[in-house]
Amino acid sequence: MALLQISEPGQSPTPHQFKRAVGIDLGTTNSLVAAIRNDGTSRGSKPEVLADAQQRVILPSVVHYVASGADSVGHDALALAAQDPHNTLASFKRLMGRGSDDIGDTRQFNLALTKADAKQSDVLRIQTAAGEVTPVQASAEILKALAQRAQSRLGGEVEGAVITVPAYFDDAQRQATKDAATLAGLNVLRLINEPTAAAVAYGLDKADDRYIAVYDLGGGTFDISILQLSEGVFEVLATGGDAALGGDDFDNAIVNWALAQAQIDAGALSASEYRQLQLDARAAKETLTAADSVVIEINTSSTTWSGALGRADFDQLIEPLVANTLAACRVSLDDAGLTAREIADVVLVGGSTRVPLVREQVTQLFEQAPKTDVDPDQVVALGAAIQADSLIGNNRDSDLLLLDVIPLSLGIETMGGLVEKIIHRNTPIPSTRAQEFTTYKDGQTALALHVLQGERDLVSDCRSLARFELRGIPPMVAGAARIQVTFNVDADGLLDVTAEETTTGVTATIQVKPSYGLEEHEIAQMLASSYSHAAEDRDSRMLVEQRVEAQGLVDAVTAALAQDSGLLNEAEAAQINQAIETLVTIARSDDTHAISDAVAALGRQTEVFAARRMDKSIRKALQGKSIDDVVDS
Amino acid sequence: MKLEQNYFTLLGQSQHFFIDAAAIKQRFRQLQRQYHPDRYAGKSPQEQRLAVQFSAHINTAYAVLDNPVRRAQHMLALKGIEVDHQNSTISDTGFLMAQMETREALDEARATNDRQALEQLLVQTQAQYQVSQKNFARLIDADAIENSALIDCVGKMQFYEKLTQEITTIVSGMA
Repeated sequence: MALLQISEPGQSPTPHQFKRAVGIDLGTTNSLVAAIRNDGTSRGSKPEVLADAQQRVILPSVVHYVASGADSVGHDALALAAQDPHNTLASFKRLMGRGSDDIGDTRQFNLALTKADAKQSDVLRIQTAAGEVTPVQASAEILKALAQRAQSRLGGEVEGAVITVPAYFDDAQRQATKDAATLAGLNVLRLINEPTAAAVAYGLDKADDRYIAVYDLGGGTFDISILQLSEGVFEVLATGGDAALGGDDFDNAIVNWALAQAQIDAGALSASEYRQLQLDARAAKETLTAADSVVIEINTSSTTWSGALGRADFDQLIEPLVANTLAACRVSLDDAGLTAREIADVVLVGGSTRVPLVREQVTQLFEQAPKTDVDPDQVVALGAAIQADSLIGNNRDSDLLLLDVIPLSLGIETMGGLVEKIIHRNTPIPSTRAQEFTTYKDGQTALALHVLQGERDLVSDCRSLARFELRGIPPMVAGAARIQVTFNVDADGLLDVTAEETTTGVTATIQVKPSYGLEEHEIAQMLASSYSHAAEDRDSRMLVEQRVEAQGLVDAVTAALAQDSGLLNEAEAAQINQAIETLVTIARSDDTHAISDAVAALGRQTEVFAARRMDKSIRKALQGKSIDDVVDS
Repeated sequence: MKLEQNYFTLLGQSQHFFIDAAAIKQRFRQLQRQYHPDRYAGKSPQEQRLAVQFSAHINTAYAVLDNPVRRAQHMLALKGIEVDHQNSTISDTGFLMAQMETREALDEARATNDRQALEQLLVQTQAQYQVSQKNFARLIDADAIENSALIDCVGKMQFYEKLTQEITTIVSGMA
């Protein structure tokens, strides 16, 4: 298996070929794309944010819809926000992976949210001139615009992208982000956490072996991550936050303050007037970073009001929100087993960290002035670009390795509406854990499984990720069945769950998606209806991709056999050779599914071989030590 | 798929309770450098899936060896000693009495917000935790030791670990 085909240092298996890879910060308010350019030196190149034709690096995360679909994104769409509020979607990142019951105060979104009908999955849908739009589709428009920008700046199609998500995003929110990338036609190399990306952009050329804290307050989300840096390894020790707390909430606090001062009921404002007030509130907040006071005006068809908001008043408005972020910092420090004093550097990320009160409070908590030398708006995209460059293989000598954790515990519903945690928060990913359950009634032949995420003990207090059923359990007395439920979290932080009745081998697998996610067929439908992907195009592309994959696997296995056939007995080797021949034959056909099945079959055949090769290489690595160190005494 | 199940072997340590924490961390990083899925981002889905499994296995091994209680439980498992966590009780009545007293002292210190008393309890519990670990290290290396004595000892370690966490949480919440 090529898994162990890692080339020895200094010998590359294939000639070095530069690939275009980008890092994308898909933000609540603004989005950016960055890349490391191929300047011929290949090593030590710095990432840069890519600007549009007008030399603007920031793309406002705003999409405007007309009857035929999205007609503008970014600055152009933002300009239409107050004029055409219902068709101008903004801050939709806050709606990603959410259901229609999740949104408390819908007014702040200023959007026409619709309930899912019975045939649809429970995903928030926004009513626009183009019909219903999901936050995933709106996000895909932003991603497409950034991919196009990168393509024209880098001089060719983008071959892979790293997309950042808030560390505190739950499974549904991460999956929604990945779905958006699929819709945008991007090859996602990895989803990485925003604070981790920021740490990468900061930490590479700095002194080694220390602890750092990344405080990331964006437009809609807050993250705190505590990392240990050592020899290029960025190891997240703990992360925490609030996926629904950000600068937008500061703006809304100002909106509510102004309405209260003016004694105007929010309902008396038209959607346009309300959106205008939100925009003014954001401008006022930004002014207060440098000024002591700012004047806010409300001009409606019926009233006019103006009033001054002082820095102290503003601080008072947002103090409870900032206090929440500090509480989360303390919890994460505890989780990491560190005190504030042990943190060598505090890094500020996100536009909302420009607010003076935030800086003051963070300085106080960590007893040091936070670092701000990399632009807090750009640092996440820059870090993602470094990781993208490394993942796509441009920088083979890179020492960079990110070891991240899962932000929220994952569990399963048990009797009495309680949650049994299977993977705890701050567990390093990838992660695999299994737990055994049993039947509670005589003759029970099915078991319903409800997968949840969150820290609380009650099902009703946690987030429902998915429900599925294991059927076909042979009737047994209560408690006799042994049902092993396995949770697998991959390097993107995405969960899949398998269940198996171990005495009979009955299995069920789900990719955790449903409760608040789009179904596979919905994504397929959206893809089919998007003009950039004609159906035939897609089919032939899939066939080509499958053939490439088949060839790659055959090459890898053949190479591994040449090296390590001694690890297999004759029967095993014969089976693998048979599977190779089958795959080679089928790969000549035009049957995409058959090829994919044959690839999977060869994959299964070689798993044991790959594991033995891993063992062998581990033992080889230990040979440098004395026998006494290794052998059990 | 069967990967190396002895986490001491996997992380390059001889099988003794007291380990070189810095060495296993280094070995852990070295293994992740080789097997983490990020190293296979451009490879086939099949290889990526295997890398996820390998990497997850390495994570588990590190998490087990890094924690004294889990490490001790792993050593019992390697010896073929099964521990029924639900039904295992500690039979040392002196220990149980002492723990009831500690609980009472903890409740009182918490009720009266007595930081000094809490910190004192923390120091005491940590010391007892250390002693129980040394006991385990001695017992597991000894020949002809009753399984029940080992299980008992791990039970005590587990108790001290939980209590340490509980007091730490209370103290940091007082800040």
